[in-house]
Amino acid sequence: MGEDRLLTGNEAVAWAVARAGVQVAAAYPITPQTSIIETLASLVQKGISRAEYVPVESEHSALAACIGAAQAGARAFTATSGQGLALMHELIHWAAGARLPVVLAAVNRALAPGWNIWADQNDTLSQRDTGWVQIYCENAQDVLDSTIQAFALAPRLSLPVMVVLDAFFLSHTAEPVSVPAPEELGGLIPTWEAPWRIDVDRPKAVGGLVGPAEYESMRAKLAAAHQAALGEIADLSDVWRRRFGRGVGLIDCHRCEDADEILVASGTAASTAREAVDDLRARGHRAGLVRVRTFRPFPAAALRAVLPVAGRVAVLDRNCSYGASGIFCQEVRAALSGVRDSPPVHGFIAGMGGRDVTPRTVEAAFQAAAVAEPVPEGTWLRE
Amino acid sequence: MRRLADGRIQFEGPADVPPVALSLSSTAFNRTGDWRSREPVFGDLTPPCAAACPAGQDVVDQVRLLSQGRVREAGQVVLAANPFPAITGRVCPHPCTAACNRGKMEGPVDIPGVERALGDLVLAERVELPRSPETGARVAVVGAGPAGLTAAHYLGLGGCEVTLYDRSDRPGGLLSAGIPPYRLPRAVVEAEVARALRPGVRFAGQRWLGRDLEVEALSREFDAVLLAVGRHAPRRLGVPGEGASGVVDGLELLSAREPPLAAPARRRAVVVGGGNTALDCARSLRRAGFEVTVAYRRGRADMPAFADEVQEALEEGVALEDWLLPAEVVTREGRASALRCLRARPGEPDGSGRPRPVPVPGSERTLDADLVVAAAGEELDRGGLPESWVERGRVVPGPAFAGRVLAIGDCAGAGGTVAHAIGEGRRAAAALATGLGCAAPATNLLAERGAAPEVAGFERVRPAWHRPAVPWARGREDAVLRRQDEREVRLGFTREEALREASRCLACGTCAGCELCYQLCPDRAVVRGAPGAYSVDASRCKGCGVCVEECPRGALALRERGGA
Repeated sequence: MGEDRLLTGNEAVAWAVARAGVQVAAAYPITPQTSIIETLASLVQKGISRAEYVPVESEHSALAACIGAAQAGARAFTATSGQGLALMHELIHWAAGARLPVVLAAVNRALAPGWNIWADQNDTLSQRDTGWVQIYCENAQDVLDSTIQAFALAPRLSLPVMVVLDAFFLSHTAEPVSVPAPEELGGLIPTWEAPWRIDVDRPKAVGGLVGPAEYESMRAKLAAAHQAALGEIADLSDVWRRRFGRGVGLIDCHRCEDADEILVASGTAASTAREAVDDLRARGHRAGLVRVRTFRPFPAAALRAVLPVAGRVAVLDRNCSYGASGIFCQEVRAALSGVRDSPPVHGFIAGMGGRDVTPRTVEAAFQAAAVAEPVPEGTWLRE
Repeated sequence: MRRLADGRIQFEGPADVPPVALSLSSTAFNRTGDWRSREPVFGDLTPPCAAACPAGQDVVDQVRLLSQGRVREAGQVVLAANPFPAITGRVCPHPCTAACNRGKMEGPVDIPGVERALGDLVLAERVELPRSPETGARVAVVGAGPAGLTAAHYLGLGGCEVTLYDRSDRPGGLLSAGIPPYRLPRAVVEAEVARALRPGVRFAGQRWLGRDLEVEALSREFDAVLLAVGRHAPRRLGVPGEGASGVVDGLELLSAREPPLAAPARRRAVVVGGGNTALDCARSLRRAGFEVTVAYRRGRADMPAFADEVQEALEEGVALEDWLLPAEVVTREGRASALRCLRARPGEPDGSGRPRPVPVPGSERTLDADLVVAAAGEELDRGGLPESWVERGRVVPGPAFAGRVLAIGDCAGAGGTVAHAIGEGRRAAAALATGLGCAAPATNLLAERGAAPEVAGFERVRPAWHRPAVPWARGREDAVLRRQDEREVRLGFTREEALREASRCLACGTCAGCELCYQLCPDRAVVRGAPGAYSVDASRCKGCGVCVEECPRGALALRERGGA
């Protein structure tokens, strides 16, 4: 049976990596990621994980090592943050284009300059269009479950998966976490057996030149794999609820059924918003919350099924696409586009560079959405 | 997807295209080697240990084979160059160890310890080299010390019929008469000497040059003559009173079958000298119950004795007084009672580079002594040698005997250690054997297995590829206990310890078949073979040099691409 442990988000990642039976880990140290690999090293020392560590001189090399390992059929893992993820960018594309089941834990960190190690989603959202699955976690249990699920999803879909967690609010804050026993995960994580896995007995070359028509076909298949991932993620969350009695899949709805106003949020801000919504409900407001857990593939159909009941939608973004708006806001607007009588979508930007998102921030978003017309570029909420 | 006869690939619409770019055909047609301007050359170099060995042993090969537990093969490698590994493992100062590249890491490989264990195992397992068919060639060797024994052994192995003459009634020379048993047990000498004589060597003892033998007659009677008479004429102290009773020569003292127990009541001895003979005398007298002082004319650091031996003598309670010049043996009733000395100070360096001792006038020091041992070096005993054959204390056979009579070893001015004598003996045997139509021993084992003469220094070694391994210290017997008898002072390795210590060898400059070049080559251009038989597929090698840079032992080099 599983056991309850007091774990930070980073420690939860390491335990999940150990439970998933990772064979190769390569990473380069960067705050606030580093304690993931440190914890994994101590789990290897204790015999809980049998991962081989590949020392590397940069994040670019770290992902390259994982790509090589995955291409040979090894279960591979890396972790990084902020600048490190930016340095990996070229190979982030490669891992997805080569359809390799690499898992990456990204601890959200603001990008420099100015130098800032705090939570901010712009680093992972900059990797939005690379073809990776992205899962944004709310708490340490979600981190552990999502990381194990990432190893289950990646080989089924031949897609790399990024598990995203907020710096410090999650990475360095300890919570009680139920860690499943290895036998409870039986049959969940398949061996990757794609035909393009390299194998000395069946020689082949991968990643060579292709013509425009072939390239287009391959990319269409990548897009199709993401559509298939929507169903896989939902199915996996069903399995999780049956086995462990917890967890959500694509989105997490709180008191939305009869809501007049719904806030959309992600990460730890959603936890705060849950409290704020309950507070507003207690004062007679019919408020609701949707947490977007799976950002890629984007759960447009699920949102279309929930959001239109409300009179208005507010989206809280800990990120900004400069010159446009908050990025989740863009995505929600796009998802509702073309839906008859869809509610107006108000965008709010708060908590960048690690600023606290408090219940008052959430209430301010609801209040502003109630009194004003939405503006395309969104509204910055700064206390 | 279909592969057409002309090689084209045909997809049945976009859905038939695989999700990633994939080729199942070979890329072997891709001659990446056409790009190269340089190419690696596989080839062993000379390891620093072998380069330093006066006997010319293939140290790496013998150590490597032993580390794999292949005692018989390791034995054959060592016996090809040295018939006495159990002896040299005990008494050689091992310049190989000083040269060992591992010394710049955790500490050098204990090559003497490994060689001693190998020598003992080779004796126990009765490993011997096969003798070539007899040719009828007859050779006389005069002097059964290490040089003469070695030459006789290899000539016998090569098919000669060898007669080995010596003054003593037993073979061994200094090995049995000059090195005391606590440094070199008699049983070890007897066993290795017996094995050396087995292939066609007849020992003829108690035969003195000049009394029983005469070189010109020998040269007529035999096809060739080797003179290996050594240096054992005592160098006189050259001071008043040295003819007194109680003044003895160092080598005489050591060769006496019984230690000088019949000493007077006070039992004080002074040994004059600073070499191994002096220290051996001092230690033997210590074991016989004497209070012993070694009086040396220069400083302690200038002593020619091996540092280990000086250390061991001091542990055993031998007193050492340096910068003392003997001036007179003080006698009472015709017996030595003291050695009067003058103090010295360091002067200008002499030909050996060491400071010349300059007496300090009026600085007398008198050491009480019932026994004075003169052990300040030995000279050539010219007895029985033609007058014109001795030049500056060395034997040089006359021109009329060139090629038929050779002088080797100490009497010919060789380096002075047992290993030097072995090297000289083997090379002389090789030089004679060919002319006599006999099989010659190897003169250069490294060259014979294809190693270039260039020495693989530490800069050719990649320490990061070698697992760290600290040396296994062997230690010595307790100093108090060992003074009571003639037990062997230095401890040996067990078989397991010797194998473990041998496995610390980096095999500098020597392909060990580690596969790193094969594994790291980005173009899979390295073609595997047995260790030392790797090669490069020139049609693939781009000349990047990764294999050369990463070879842990420097057994690879880059050269400019040759030809068009």
